[in-house]
Amino acid sequence: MAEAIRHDRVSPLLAVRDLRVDYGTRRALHGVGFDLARGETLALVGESGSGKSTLARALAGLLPASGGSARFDGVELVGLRPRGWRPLRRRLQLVFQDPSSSLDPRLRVGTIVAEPLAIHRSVPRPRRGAKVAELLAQVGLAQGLAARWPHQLSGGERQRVALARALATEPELLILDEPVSSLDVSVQAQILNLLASLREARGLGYLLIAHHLGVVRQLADRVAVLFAGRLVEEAPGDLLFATPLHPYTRALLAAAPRPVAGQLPRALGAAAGEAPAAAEGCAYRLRCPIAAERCAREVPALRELGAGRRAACHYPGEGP
Amino acid sequence: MSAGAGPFAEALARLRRDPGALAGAALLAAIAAACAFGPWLLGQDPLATAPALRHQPPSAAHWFGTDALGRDLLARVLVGGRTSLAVGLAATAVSVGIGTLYGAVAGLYGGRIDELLMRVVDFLYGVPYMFLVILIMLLFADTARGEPLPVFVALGLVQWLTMARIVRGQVLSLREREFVLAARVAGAGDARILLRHLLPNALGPVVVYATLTVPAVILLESFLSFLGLGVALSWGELVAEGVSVVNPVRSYWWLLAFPSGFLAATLLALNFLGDGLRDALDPRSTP
Amino acid sequence: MSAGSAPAASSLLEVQDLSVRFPGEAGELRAVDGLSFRLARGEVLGLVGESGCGKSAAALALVDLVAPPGRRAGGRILWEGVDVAAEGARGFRALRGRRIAMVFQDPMTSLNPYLRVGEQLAEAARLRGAGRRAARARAEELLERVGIGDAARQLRAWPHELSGGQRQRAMLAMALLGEPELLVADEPTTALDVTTQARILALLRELQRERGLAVLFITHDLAVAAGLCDRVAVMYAGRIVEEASAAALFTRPLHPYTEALLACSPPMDGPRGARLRSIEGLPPRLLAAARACTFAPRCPRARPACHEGEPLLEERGGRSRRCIAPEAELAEAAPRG
Repeated sequence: MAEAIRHDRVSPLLAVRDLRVDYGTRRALHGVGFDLARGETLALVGESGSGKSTLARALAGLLPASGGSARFDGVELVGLRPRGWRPLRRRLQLVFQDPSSSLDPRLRVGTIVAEPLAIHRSVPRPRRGAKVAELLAQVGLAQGLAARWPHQLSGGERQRVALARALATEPELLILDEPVSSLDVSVQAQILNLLASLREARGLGYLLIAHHLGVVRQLADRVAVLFAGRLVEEAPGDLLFATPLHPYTRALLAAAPRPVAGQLPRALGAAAGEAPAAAEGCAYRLRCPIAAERCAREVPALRELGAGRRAACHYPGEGP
Repeated sequence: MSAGAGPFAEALARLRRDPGALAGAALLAAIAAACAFGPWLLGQDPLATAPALRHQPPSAAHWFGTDALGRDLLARVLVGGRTSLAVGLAATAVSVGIGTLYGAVAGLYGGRIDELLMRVVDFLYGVPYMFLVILIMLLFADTARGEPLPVFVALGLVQWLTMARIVRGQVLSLREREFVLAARVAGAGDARILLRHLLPNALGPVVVYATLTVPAVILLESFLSFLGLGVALSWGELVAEGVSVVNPVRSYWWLLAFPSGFLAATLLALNFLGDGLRDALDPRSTP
Repeated sequence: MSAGSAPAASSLLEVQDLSVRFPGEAGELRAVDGLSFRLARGEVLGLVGESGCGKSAAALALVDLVAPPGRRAGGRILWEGVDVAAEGARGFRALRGRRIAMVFQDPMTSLNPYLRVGEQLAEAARLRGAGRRAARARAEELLERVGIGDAARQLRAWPHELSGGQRQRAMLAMALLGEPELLVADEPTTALDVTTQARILALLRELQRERGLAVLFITHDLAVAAGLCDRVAVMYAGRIVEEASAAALFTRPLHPYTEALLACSPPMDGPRGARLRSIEGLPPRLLAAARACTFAPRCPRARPACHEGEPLLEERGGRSRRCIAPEAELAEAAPRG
């Protein structure tokens, strides 16, 4: 954003506290908490196993949470019954990573985009065609595409269709699960631009799940970093990229490839390679270059560090 | 690619390019047409007895010869075909109907419902099917003597088990696909998800299995007739008659050859068609 | 087509006018359409392009592994100056696995899930004539070298028990078994986490320097190619549109496609605009022979002449480009640092 946008933090659109998700005996999310203000874009960053997709799906009601709280505009999502979810579905939508599997291959594009309208009966049947055409136009697609089948469209076009479908009921919050990861760079740029303009036009809030830091930097107001199901750092975007505090955030930033000849991305952290998360003390300590004795004894709490930043580390800001 | 090429249309196009499937379809159509219109066109009564003409070999007057009561075999084969084909289709329809619904519910809800439903299927699988069929036939024997209906029902009831398993398997694997999740997130309820998303995408194996169930049912019906339990006039019945007059002294080969030939040809045609359908509906098969 | 100079003495691999075609429903797809490049001994060449540009098809064609009904439809592949295809399949077999090794994107499909990792490595070693004990020792040695800690234990591991990074290291170990001179790596780090990717790239560089390996590194990620490669060739619609040393390409791209590609990646450092530059339109269908510049319909610098004839790949000052726009016009765009 060229200028900082003041977001209403007093009554956030989404307030998550100590959210836990288990898969059987395995804990995928360990008490994650954050706020998302109306119209704000919060990015959740992490690698495989970080729990970011789990978080996205739990917040969208596709997975049951095992504990904690997630309030969408005051409505508690954890433990919400299917009947309670119905009205929320109009206001909270999810866009998946792979547009070739998130569109029903047996339905035409127009039918796919109109489905939310049919489910919620928000637009009477005779007017749906016009609404679909309007939605397609908003995502930059020609009207004619409504008659086509998904397999006839390119990856970028399919992702636009997925977006059009998500916007059909005029939601307030979009959860975007790796929205551009399966797209080529040139198409990715188009979709990122589209996401930015849609957000501006509709005052949408985005919960952006991504692993590519460049994408995050481009779109996010605030960034939260997840490691092994735990929130380890949260900060306004520019601050996070300028002065990352948690060793994992620093490792992620150092490892991001940059188009400079001869400059390999740096692999910070223990030379032991891809060590697992530690079960006791700080989960990151087995990979952390500055892990100390205290890190094995004491789980670092997520502490406020001023300027809207939080980090879960005993030695934030130190090390490579 | 044309704007009108949906996945079903494409499958049809693929089917049209498959020589085996086309041959099978053509043969099937020919047999069905012959059975439907043949007896009427030829004017021979399959039930008309003519003791003077018994056991005539094929001739100009009787293309397939005559049987022990002088009845024209061609007419009998064609009319018998009506029964066999009708039974095949009807019983398959019953099994598809029951099996699809049952398997879809089991697959969609999962958990304990699925376990319960599938244990029932497992149990029924364990019961020898002929025993089951005969039991049902006997149950209906009084109420509908000689009627084809109990046969349809009996055979359909036996065949739905595999269909249920197939549909359940399909639904289970489709249930976690992203487009189904997307429909859930959009707010779709179970009924809509089942009818609009799961079943249309599960159709492939269902259609293929249904096409392959028809010959199985026809064969089953023939076996029943062979045992004397079937409907009056069908290919199985005719084969039974043909076998009963086999003796080393005089060979009435036509009584066995023609009915079995029609039966075999139909089964073959259906199998070719079924194979072709499976290839056509499988999106991974080469173009 | 590159300027017709005789292959340099140090050229390990030279590809001339390679074509690969795949039959499709609407006609034959020209996945690779006149690809030419040279790779010197010990050099790391990056082949960069978006999906559908033909880079993977080209890699497979190098070792004659294009799956039928696709086929290599033309061109020459010269290994140390000798045409490999002249001897038919035998020529390729002599190279594959021995002098040319390949590593792919998804190690799960390259590793047999029913065999333990050690067994697969040892089997590969035995195929090259080692005895059982020697093969096992070699497998262990290589696993150590690629950094799979506690190699003895990993030997007994199943592929699914390894992490993505570990599997890729195992793949590298397999590739190194035959002591190859050229390693063809097709998107080897694309499916890995970024921190793991950084480690694998570092390992690749170490191995490359240690063994004087030539590497053909195929990727869609320009930034990754920048770090590892000495030279980078950019592919579009089945052919190379620009080739230069990494240093030159990234500071001074001379083809509008390269320029656009660099501009539309969201930057990690430096100022960030509200909108990214993007490339309008879609890549071409690859059905007909190119009669004009394939990028012209999407090119912001296109002029009438671009639609009239095919531009040739011209070499000048150690780099090549396939574009009729004068160099000066591209060089005046803001240099990337």
